[in-house]
Amino acid sequence: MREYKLVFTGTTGAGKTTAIAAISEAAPIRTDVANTDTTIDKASTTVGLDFGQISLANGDRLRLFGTPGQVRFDFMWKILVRDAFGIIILIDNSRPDPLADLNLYINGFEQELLTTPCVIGVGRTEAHSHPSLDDFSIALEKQNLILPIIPVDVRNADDVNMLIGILMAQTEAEMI
Amino acid sequence: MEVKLRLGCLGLIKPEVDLIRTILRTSSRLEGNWALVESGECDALLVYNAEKSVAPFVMKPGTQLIIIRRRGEVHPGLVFYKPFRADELVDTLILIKANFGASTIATVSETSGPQKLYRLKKWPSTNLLSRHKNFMLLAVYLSRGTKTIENLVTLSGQSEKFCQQFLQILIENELVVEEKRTVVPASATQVGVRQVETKKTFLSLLKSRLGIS
Repeated sequence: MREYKLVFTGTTGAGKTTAIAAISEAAPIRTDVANTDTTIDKASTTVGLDFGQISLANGDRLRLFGTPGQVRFDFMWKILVRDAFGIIILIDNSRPDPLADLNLYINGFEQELLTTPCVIGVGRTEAHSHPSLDDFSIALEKQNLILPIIPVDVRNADDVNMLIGILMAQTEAEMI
Repeated sequence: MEVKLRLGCLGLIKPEVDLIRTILRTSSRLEGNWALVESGECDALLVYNAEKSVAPFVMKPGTQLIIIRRRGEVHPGLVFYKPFRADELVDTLILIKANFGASTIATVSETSGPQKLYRLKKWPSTNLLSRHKNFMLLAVYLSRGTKTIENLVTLSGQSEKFCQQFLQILIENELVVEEKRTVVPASATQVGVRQVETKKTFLSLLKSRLGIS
């Protein structure tokens, strides 16, 4: 039986826990505590990591890991992303500076992004259209990165599956 | 229709030959690409020793000899160890087929000259990608290393005309880097082929599990 790993990362409130819950076959294990940060409008926040799972027909498993969003837990990011099949960076477009948020994770996973498939999902774009997806693309280009960027609502399993589908396409492209 | 590759067995006892025949018939990884032959030309030949005579088989240029040895014995080249393990024979046959296909492609490249390769230099605008539902997928493929049009056709399942149209749009919008060089297929190793096959199986099962086509 083989195990594969998929890592969801992004700022607090971007939807990592929700995304895993949308597709995990069992209720994901969460490490939440009450949120005491009044600048962030959510009742609880992840302080360890989230864990979910998808079982495949041959017994292999895809383990879903959600990193804690706060920067003080960034030491866990590199541990979690080791040997990952892909990285999904979730951005909350309602935050004050989503481009700076993206920059944080691009820098945090700088080495891993050289080889590991990665896709960026931007949430809350219907109500918050700025910055645009093209703005994100330009920001990545300045760092010599070309990554797929798509709008998502991670409460919707189809959107989360689309993100994973893009990671799979990247993997297939590297096999040819 | 793709022609099956032919595997011959020389010097094996009947139960061993029956086992090989069963492996060829039942292995999903071989995808029906191999057939057992009892004489004549073959693409690969399982033998205990590099016989002086391989009759009733006929060796042709490119026929691969797979030597049978006891586990623990060292032998250069392709080896099938006893006690037999089906997955090891399947790995070896996949490797032979991969190199067989690669040498065919190399021959075509030699006669048709250098090929054009394309690589995305900037992620396309939302406007551009929204023109067709399959544009994003093609952009994803082009964002991971250089690709020929044939690569895009293989990956996407779209027609060559469609892939060319998309590339033309990218070229007009200065979003793609174009190179010309002779494409030399990478030589496959047993480990490399096994890793690729494992990955393909994982992707296929995950697509099925998530309902992604």
